[in-house]
Amino acid sequence: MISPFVGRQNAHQPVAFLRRGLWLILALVLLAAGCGPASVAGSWAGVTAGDDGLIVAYLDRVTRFNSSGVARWEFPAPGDALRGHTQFYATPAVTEDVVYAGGYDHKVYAINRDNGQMLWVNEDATSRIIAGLTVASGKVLVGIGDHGVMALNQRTGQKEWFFDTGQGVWATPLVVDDVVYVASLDKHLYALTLATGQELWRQDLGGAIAGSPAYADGVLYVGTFMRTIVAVNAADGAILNTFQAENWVWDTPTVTDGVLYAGDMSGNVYALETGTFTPVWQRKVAREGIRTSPLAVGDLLLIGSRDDTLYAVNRASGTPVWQQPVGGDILSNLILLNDDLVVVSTMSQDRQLVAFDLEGKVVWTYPPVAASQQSQ
Amino acid sequence: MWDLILNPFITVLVFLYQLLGQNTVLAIVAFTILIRLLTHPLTVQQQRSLKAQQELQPKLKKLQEKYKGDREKLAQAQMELYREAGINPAGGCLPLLIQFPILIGLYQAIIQVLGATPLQLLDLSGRILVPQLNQLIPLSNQFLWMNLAEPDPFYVLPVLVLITTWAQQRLLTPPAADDGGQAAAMTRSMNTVMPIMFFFFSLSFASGLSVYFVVSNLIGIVQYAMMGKANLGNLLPFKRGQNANPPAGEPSPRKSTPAK
Repeated sequence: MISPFVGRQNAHQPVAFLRRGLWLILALVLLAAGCGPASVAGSWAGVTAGDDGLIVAYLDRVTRFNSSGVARWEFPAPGDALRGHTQFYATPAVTEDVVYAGGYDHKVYAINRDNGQMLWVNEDATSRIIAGLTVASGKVLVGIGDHGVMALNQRTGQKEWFFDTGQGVWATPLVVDDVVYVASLDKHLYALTLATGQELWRQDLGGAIAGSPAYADGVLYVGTFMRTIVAVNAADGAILNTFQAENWVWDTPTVTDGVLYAGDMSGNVYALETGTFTPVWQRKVAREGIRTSPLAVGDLLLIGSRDDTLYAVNRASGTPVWQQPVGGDILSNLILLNDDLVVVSTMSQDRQLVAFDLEGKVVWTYPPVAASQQSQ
Repeated sequence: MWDLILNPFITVLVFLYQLLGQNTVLAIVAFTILIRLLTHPLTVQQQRSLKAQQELQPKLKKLQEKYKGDREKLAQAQMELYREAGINPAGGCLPLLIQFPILIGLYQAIIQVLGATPLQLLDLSGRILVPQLNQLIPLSNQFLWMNLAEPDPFYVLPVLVLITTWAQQRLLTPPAADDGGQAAAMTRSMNTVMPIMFFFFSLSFASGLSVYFVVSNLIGIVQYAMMGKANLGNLLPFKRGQNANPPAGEPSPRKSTPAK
């Protein structure tokens, strides 16, 4: 005779199993939501060149590398309570002694450049720090992810002034002759005094601005989400020229020898004469979007794309010279080290940094890979 | 392929944002209602099919007993039964399969337009099919005390998500699921796990997405109430364990028990 109790237990086994499964899923969700490290990328690495290497802000740390791609310190250091509890993507500002980094935890950190120890932290930001930081005349300028820009005392980290914008500031503030130029997602380009943050002028460019302006000979050049590249008079904000691109222009244009170079999110690169915005050449260089500023080195123009490839084209004609796959989306700005080494930061954890010579040959990678793999 | 759904959705969402005074929350609410209205015929069809299949259950069980051990004959008899009743056995799944990519598209569109992170905003480039609408990007993220691209700092929305998810689960639980059987045990687990899961999602997700969860739950409740499927009695604690009166047109759970 079978006990009814046992029979009932057996009948409920699949249900009990499913119920346990549901609770297991819930436990995993809780773990992922609250206890796991902040490791899912929300952005790309912020990379800055120092005198003798690089400072890279990516995921849960800021790392100082030497020019051979060897990590010298990490902030927060392994084992630090802060490690894993914030993310860093804003391009750090670097001075002789200090690295300034902004976090997704709404904080700005000053870090000793020699040893990676924290010097001060500022908690005045109301949102994530996405924009790169700028240091000028004793101030650290910080764009805030939801709205506004603030100036901190470079030595103490105390807030000196705040200027409000309608929406977030994701572009690195640009300082020229004691004037701060701030590009905002609220579609405006602002000019502020560096000393007090007082507004000098503002110009509505019709579309959000996520990339910093470039400055040359009294003119600011900036890209917008209205698919335009705009030239603005730095003195009064008047619009001098507008060029219609095919897609959003997110990157900071590169201006050299009277020619402006910029890419768009469809993979096109435009070379425009700065005075008239007449195209010198324009070409679809990449299969996917270009977020990084083109890097002009000698006769070459180097362009990184979301299609995982670094392209080198002739600067005068746009003709392809070489291209190299890097193993991950290139969204961070390209860095020129020692005039002969181009460092590319990718979204791939396996190829966070790849250094090329000017002929497109890999010199080193971080994390390092075996020589046999490197040559492939 | 996925872009065929996502890009028009994003464009419509941005258009609604423009139409509704550049208010992101209103745009999310209107967009969710619009999509739910468009998929309403599918939901009705799915419910009808489920109801018809539920009504056939006693006959199906009889067939299972009759052809125990002969799968081939059972399958033939089942198909014959479905044919006589004019029911497509897959009729309940098809509307669900069609709705699924639409609802995922709705969810993805909201995430993308919020542009909570640079990567999300970057992914929005080229997705807006009307070039002039690019001037509205990024959508304004400020709503009351919240930045819609970040989690609600005061946990009001996560709590609302918890309450509305729980209410929707309870209201949509058919009376038969409260009869103490295996299905009831499973439903009770779902009714507890799902609200808690969505609550924790909302703690870390952009609050704009939490707005969507709340609106979607409320629309779901209204939608099923209009179809006579919401069991208001399930919200009352003292009704628990009792069989609430089934809504009009719903077969009584007692009647659906196969005859011995």
